[in-house]
Amino acid sequence: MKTKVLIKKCIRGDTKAQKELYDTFAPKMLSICNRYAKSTFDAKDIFQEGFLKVFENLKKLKDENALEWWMKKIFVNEALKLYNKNKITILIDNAKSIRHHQSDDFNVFSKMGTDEITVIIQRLPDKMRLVFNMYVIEGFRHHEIAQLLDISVGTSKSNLHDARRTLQNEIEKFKKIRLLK
Amino acid sequence: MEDNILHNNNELDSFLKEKYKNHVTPPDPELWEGIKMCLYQNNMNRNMRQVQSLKIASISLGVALVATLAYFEFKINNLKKQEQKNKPVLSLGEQTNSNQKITPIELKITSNQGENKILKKNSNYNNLQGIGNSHTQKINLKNNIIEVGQPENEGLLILPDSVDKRERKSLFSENINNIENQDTEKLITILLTENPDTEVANNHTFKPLAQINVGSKGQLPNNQEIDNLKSDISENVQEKHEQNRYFVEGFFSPEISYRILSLNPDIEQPIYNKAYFGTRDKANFTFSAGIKAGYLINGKWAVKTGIFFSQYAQRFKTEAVHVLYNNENGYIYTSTGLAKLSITSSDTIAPETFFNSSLRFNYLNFPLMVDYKISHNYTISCGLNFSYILWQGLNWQAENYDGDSESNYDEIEGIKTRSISMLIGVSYERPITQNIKLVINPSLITHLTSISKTSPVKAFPYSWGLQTGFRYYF
Repeated sequence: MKTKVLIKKCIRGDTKAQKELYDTFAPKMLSICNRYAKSTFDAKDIFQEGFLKVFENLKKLKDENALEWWMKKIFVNEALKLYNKNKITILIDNAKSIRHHQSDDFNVFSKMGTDEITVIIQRLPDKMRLVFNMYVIEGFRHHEIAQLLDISVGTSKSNLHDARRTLQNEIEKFKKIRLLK
Repeated sequence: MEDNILHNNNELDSFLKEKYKNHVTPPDPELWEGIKMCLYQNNMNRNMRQVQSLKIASISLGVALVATLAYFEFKINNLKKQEQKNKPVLSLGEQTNSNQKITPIELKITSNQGENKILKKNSNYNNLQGIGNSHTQKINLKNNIIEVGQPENEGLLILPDSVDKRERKSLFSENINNIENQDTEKLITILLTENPDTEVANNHTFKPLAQINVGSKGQLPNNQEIDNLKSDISENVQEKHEQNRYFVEGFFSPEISYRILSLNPDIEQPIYNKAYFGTRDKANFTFSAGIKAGYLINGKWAVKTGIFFSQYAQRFKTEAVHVLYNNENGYIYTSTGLAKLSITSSDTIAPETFFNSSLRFNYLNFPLMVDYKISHNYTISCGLNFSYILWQGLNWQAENYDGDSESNYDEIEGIKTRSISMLIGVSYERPITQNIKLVINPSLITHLTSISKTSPVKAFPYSWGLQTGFRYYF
């Protein structure tokens, strides 16, 4: 079914068309949700809320060629919403999380599959994870990230720097393990 | 590579970007189930909100209409009272002058042979002298309540309400005697000009307003008959003086709806035929509400149009064994089409139980109607409605294998978005004020086209209703 027709049917509430749209984009969107969430449980939450938003707002989509990009934006926004909702908890947890994960997940990079990297990214502190995903994978600029997360450009840059360092440390550990073997 | 990743940010970024470029994570099937349920729930809530909004809008519109009418009526009455207060009165016996035009009245006698004879007209009021007393010498021109009198050969007597009953009777009695002297008269017609303040009145272009029968012996009408006469004159005067040809009305109608079924040769389903639905479909209560505006072409005919919300509903109860399944969904045939059921749990419906549902179809109608007045208060209305479906659904409930109740709202497939229906009714109008009338209209709305495209039977819904509302003439 052509995208334009599919969108029209979805707007009308056609369940079959909604399922088709879901089947087409769900795997990609769930991958995004996994990167942004700190657990699979949160990722599922973002995923479901995101899809409901997509179906609810499809009529506002102006260019059907931009559907995937538009959907991505919705899912990232949903992730940010969850982040904002849990902001206070995050501030308390942020300091502890790196040390905790460094000791527990020594061999996480043993296979370096994308899903394993996703797990490592998930374990980054919230702000680092969001900044890292938005800058590196989605291609946002620092001033955009600063605006969306309500932080300064400097904080965004330092979070990105910290995220990279953490990931590079993890990769180094992975390398050492491989050499030992 | 790994060294580069470790020491070069750009390399790390590129490495991860590449990794995630086409990365996908297949979702668990239950995630879609959850989304689907939420979509149904949202859809249902949205529909409920729409119905709720329509109800609120109809009520608000009704209240606003009544309030507006009441306001204007109040204003008009006040103006009239003021006008009446400032109007000069006429004393009987006075000669009329150009500033004090009176309401000319004639008494017409109709003989047994149908011969009409005008006895008198008020050409000279000086001749009325000595007939009335101090009470009768004043009459308000704007007050069109006219009492009949034939005092002498010289003119008419116009009696205001203030005249003592006893005097009234004696005067009337005298008139009757006069009529008796004429020997053949039985029917008196009171004539009043349509507009006393115009020159037409002076040219004696009279129209009959009311009639009263007088027995051959010249029996006096009793009080009830006099009251009726007054009421008739009052209503007629009001009507004759009404130049208002436009009207608007707001109405609400409680209704009960049924449907007529016929076989659909295009969709053959031997089991789901007329007999099957005939025993399982039941009537249901519903309503319609809206506004209409119209134009009086003449005293008999009027045309109307407007917009109104109507709902056709019916109950449907069948054995749950009739719920059909494929790998994903449950289906059930209704008389208006196949409904795809969203089964809310993994346990499908227990076939030995019953599947209870309520079907609802909400329409927005644009009527085009004609009214024909059959008597003073009664009118026949009929016309066509061009109906557009706003929402339709099946609210079902059934028992699953665990004995739990399953229920949901689901849409029926293949329902036409447009339909044509016909409305016919008889309306009764009762004046409340000069410009506002209460309108009660028992009516029948019936769809002329089947509302479904894919049902094994063709369904033509119809509803009996009692439209009640207010009509404002302007």
